[in-house]
Amino acid sequence: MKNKFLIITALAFVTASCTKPTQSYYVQDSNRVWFADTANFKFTMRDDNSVSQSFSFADIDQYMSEQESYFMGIYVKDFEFEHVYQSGFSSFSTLNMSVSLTADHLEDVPEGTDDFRMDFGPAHYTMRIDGNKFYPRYCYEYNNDSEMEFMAEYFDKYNVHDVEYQGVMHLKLVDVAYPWMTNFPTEIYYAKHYGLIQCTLDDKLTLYRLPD
Amino acid sequence: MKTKKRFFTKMTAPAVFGAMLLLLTACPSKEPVHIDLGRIPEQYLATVPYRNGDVFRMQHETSKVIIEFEVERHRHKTSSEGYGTVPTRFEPAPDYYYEYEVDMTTCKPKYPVFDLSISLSNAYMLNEEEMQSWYKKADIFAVGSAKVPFVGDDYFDYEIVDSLEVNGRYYKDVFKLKTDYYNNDDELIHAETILYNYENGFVGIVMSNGEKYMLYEE
Repeated sequence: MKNKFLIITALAFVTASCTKPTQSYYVQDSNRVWFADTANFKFTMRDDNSVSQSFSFADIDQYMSEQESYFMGIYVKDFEFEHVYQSGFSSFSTLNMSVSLTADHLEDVPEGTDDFRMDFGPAHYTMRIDGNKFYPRYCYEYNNDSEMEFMAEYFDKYNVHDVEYQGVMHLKLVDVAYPWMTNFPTEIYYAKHYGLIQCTLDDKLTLYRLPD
Repeated sequence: MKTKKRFFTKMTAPAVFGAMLLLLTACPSKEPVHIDLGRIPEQYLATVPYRNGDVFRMQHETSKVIIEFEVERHRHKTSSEGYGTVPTRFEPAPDYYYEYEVDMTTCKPKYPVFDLSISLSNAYMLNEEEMQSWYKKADIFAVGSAKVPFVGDDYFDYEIVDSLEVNGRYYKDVFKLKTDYYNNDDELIHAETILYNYENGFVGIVMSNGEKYMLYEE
C-alpha cells in the first residue's frame, strides 16, 4: 500500500513536470533601445529660469522572475519572465527616474508587447510597448491612488537645444489639474539610447537637456 | 561486533545531550547595559535656528527666481547597540544599548531643486573623550547629495566671515563650509560651498557649476 502511494506520487510529479514545461519570456530587442547607452549616462537639464541640475543613470540590469504553481501539492515551476531596468537620479533628488521593461507573459494584453514603466519624481507612467507602438495604461502619483489618463505618441525626430534626437517617446497627461501635484512631470520627451531630453512639470516649468 | 555497536548507540545520546547542556550553561548570556544619553543640550539645538513650520526664501542669483523652503523639524529618541572590545562569543549579544536623541530639520522647496537638511544627535556622547570630540565636530549638514560637517571648533578646516552682504542685508559670523560630496563625481552638479550661521541658518549655497542660491529676506 505504501509502495503504491509512492509510485502514484512519483507519477503525478513526472506528469506535472511533463505537462507544464518551463518557458522563458524575454524582453524584445526592439524595446531595449529605450534604455540610455553608457555614453549618455550623465547629462544636465536646464529649466526656463536657467536653473540647472544633473542626471545620472546606472547600467542596465536584468533578472528573471519565476511564476510558481503547485500541482497535487507538488511544486511546479510554470515559467519565468525577464525584467530589465535602468535607474537614474537627479543630483537634486527631486526628479529621480527609473525605467523598466517586463517581458510579455500575460494573456489579456496586446500580443507581443512588453510592460513599460517609467518612475519619474512622484509620477509613475505605465503602458504596454512594442517598439514604436505604445498602449498607455495609466499614470499615478506615489502617494495617491487615483489613476490618471495619459496619451503616448512616437516622433521620428525631435529637437532640443538644436540637437536632433531620433526616435522619441512623448507622454502627456490628459488632465493636469490636480491640486495635490507638486513638481509632477505632466509631459515627458524621452529618446531612444539617450533617455530624458525634455519634461514639463505641473506648474508649466520646462526642463531641457543641454548638449553634451 | 553487534554488541559494540549497541554500546556506542547507547552512549552517544547522553554524551551529546550532556555536551549541549554544558555549552548552554557554560556560556551564560550577559544582560546588555542600558545607557540613556539624555537630551541634546539646548546650546547645540540653538545652532539650528529653524522651527517646525517656518518658511524661508532663497534666490537663484542668475535668474532672480525666488524659491520658498518649508521647514519640518522633529526631535525623537532612538537607540543603538554597542559592543565592548572584541566579541569573543560566536554570536555576541550587544554589551549595551544606548538611547539618544536625534533632531532632524528638513527644508523642502516648492521648486524642483534640492532639499536642505540638518541633523543633530547626541549619539556620540558615550564617554568623556568621545563627547568632547562630538562637541568639536558637532554634526552634519546634508544639502542634496552633499554633506558638510557642522563646525564650531578646530576639528575641521573651515572659514568664517565676520560679516557678509547678501541681497542687501548683512549677516554676521557666517561659516563657509566646503562640502564632502558623497558621490565623488565632479561631473554632477552639487553643492560646493554652504554659507551658514547660527542666527539665520542657510545664508547661501554655491553650486559646483557656479550657480548660487542666496538667502532672500525683504
